Amino acid sequence: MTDRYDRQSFLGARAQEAIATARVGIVGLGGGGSHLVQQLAHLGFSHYVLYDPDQVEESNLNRLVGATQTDALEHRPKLAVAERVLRALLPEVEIDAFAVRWQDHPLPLRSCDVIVGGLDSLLDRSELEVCARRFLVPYIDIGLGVRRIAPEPPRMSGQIVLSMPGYPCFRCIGFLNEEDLAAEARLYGDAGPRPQVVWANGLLASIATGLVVDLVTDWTESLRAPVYLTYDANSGVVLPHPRLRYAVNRACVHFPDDDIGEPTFTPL
Amino acid sequence: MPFSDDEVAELKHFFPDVQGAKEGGITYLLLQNAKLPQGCQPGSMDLLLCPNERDGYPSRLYFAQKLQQPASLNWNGNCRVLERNWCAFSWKVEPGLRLAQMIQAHLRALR
Amino acid sequence: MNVAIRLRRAFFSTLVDDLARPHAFAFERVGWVFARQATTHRGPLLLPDWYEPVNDEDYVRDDKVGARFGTAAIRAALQRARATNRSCLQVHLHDHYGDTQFSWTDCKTIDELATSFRALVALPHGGLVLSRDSATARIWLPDHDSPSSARVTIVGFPTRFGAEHP
Repeated sequence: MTDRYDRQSFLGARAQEAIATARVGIVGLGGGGSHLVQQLAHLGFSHYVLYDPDQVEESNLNRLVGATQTDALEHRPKLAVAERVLRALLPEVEIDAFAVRWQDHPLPLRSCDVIVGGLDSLLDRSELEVCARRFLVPYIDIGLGVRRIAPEPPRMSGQIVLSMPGYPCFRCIGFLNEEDLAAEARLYGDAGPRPQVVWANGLLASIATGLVVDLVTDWTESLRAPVYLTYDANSGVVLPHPRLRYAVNRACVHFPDDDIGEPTFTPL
Repeated sequence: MPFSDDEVAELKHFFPDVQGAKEGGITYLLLQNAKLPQGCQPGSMDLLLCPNERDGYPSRLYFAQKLQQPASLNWNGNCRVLERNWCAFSWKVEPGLRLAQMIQAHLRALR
Repeated sequence: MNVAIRLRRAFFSTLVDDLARPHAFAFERVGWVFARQATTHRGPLLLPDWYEPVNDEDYVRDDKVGARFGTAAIRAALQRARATNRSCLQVHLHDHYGDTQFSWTDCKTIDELATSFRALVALPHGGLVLSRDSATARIWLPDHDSPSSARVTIVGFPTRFGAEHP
């Protein structure tokens, strides 16, 4: 083992091997995803499946870690920025990169040990969770939003949620519901630019990175239940969501144990 | 499957090969290579019925691909269900219909 | 060929609990795990979702091996694999913690069973050996001349990722 990872040797004797072996899927390489890529690279994660169809724009430069002004001027794919960050730290890194929506090329996600999503829409999150549940892949979601209710100052908040197959899902814990999905559907194509800032994205991504490390190494030996953390960016406080305690001991009703793998159609 | 026997029998009268599959707690109905109303292009394709409320619609009929004709449809329902990508156009059908009626009501938008 | 196997922790616990039960004369218990198949861009993925123990009465007394069972058990497993279109993995437990591996006898048994099974049900088949907290697998893919090792992941709290095999 090289000296590079000496400072993280406290994670356990086999931690670095587990980190180097794990395959991480990152869906969305924007404000949150770009932080994740950077942190995971520093930690030594060496196998990636990456999805993002977008190019770098000027308006991304307030938060897209690794992106430069030249990237914006040249409309470089966000994928290319992520690959550059990874290869600069890990020349031998293995990257499966797809400049499309994951739904248009879903097979590689099935090979991941963990998926982290930095997605904008609730529908995308819902669909990604379905895929992750079908193929038994833990899925961590991060997201940030800003609400403005005049005359109060804006309120910025976010979440980090872990959907673990076999345990309560996003719907069980109230993170997703049909009402919110329907409201989002009514705004189809008209959601407008979402407020995003680098420090809040960074915090969410850092917590998600810590979760990924804990999942892969079990170094804390305390990750034993679903995670649903809320982040109040105005106060800087991160707390477990109160809804979690009502769901944590219940079986998931949305993804039964027999609903895994390719869908099975039966004649009516 | 959460449908009554006579409702299923009625549906199979129009779509004898209808199949069902569950995802996320919802039972979807697959109509493979269903014939679409005259004038549609393509003239047939796989359809997927969500008989439950979804995306703010009482029920939704999904198509394997967007139709070239009729051209005036507002395709606002791209989604991924049962490991396939589907699309749907904006068309609200009244709630409480039987399955066969539901599908016919959705297809009425194409006439 | 990279083969991946993922099983839920609750399912894994069911296997361990059953296989750890003592038998009247066999040193080990064995069972059958049935798995759905899926495709990834890196190779097959097997998702075990059903377990059947070998019935007590199907064991055959043999002090030279951990467990031996008769043809009735094999026929039943084959029938189930065919009827449900599932891969069939013979499973047993090495009752310790930590990584485990197949013995020479295990490999011989699994290879004979799996190659027979796949001649009749053209799917991946093989064997799974568990420890109290991990698992490894040996899989015969259709149209392959040798077995593939598989990375077995136990998904849940905690998640145990299998070692990457060369």
